[in-house]
Amino acid sequence: MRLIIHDLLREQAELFIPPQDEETKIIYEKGRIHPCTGCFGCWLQTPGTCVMKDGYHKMGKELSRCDELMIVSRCVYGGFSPFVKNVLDRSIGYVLPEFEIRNGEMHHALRYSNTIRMRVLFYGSDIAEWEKETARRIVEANAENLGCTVEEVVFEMQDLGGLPC
Amino acid sequence: MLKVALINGSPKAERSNSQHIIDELKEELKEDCRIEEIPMHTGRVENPRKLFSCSVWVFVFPLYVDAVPSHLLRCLQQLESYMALEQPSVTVYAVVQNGFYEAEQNQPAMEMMENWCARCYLNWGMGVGVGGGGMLTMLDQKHNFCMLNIEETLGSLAECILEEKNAPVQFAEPNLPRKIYQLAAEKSLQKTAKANGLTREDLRKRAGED
Repeated sequence: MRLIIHDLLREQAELFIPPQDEETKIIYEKGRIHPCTGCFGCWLQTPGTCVMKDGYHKMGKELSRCDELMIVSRCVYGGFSPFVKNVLDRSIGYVLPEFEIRNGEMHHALRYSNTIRMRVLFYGSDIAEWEKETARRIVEANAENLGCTVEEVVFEMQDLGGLPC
Repeated sequence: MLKVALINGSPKAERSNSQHIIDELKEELKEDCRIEEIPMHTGRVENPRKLFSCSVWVFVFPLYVDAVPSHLLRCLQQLESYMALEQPSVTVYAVVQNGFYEAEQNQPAMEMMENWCARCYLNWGMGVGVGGGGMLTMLDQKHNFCMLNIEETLGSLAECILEEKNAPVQFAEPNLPRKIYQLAAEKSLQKTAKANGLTREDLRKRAGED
């Protein structure tokens, strides 16, 4: 399955994002998303699922079902936009609370055995080179922590019309 | 007198590991400057006037998924919009702490803070990456052997703050082997799970498993 997380407004999403079908699940802003509170409930109370039931609480499960993750986000200070980052912050139930050493660094052990190919499109009319460097580094770090492989990181140098800041 | 804002960017506010770093910095700074403690845990900057009255801003926050937590990112955007109206002369420092062992894993989040400063025309002071966040409560015990590296690094940061000086990034980890930290952190997690009525096997459940 392909999972798409994006921060585009509906009209723009229709131009850039393929329609949802049985092979594609799309995560976009539909109702208020609660920020992660760092309670570790998704690890230590209801393992794999966030305890805040706001429609974004099953991100761990969604990630476990996909083999391709596509993220479309405004580039904000070299990272994802607040909405996309919020979704990722709420996704840590995808991994286990316990640790393991991978590539010489401590990371959370993986809960699932699927392998995700990650493709990221950052957009913005004035993304600086130094922000691109940070963005690439963050995607690589995300891939390492979530056990993904990075297929591509692309920068679209125009405002695709995302959620208001 | 220099006025310093110590900003807690953890969603857990005063109950956070970040607060122990703030308390340590407060001890280092309190005799030489005026300190304003500013929590940023709601996703909104509640009292921007108080913040803008300080000439040094020190952000202390946990690493979330390799970057700045989303609620704090919203605050940074809000502050950027204020700065279009009023450009303060401010030096910014950031301390990022994570629950892994390696302090270097905080590097991308510190870069984001530096990028934010560039966008807002603020002076970037320095970044400090702290590993072993699960042990930061031990900072409260003065000169605990395990915390000496972190204490020393925070001391250097305090010196830079007082002089409003720029300095290269610094990293600090607990003064004990990584394997010991890993075992201690996992034991603590299992204790909480047990209190919640869960076994180690329960923690490893996958979606769809009963």
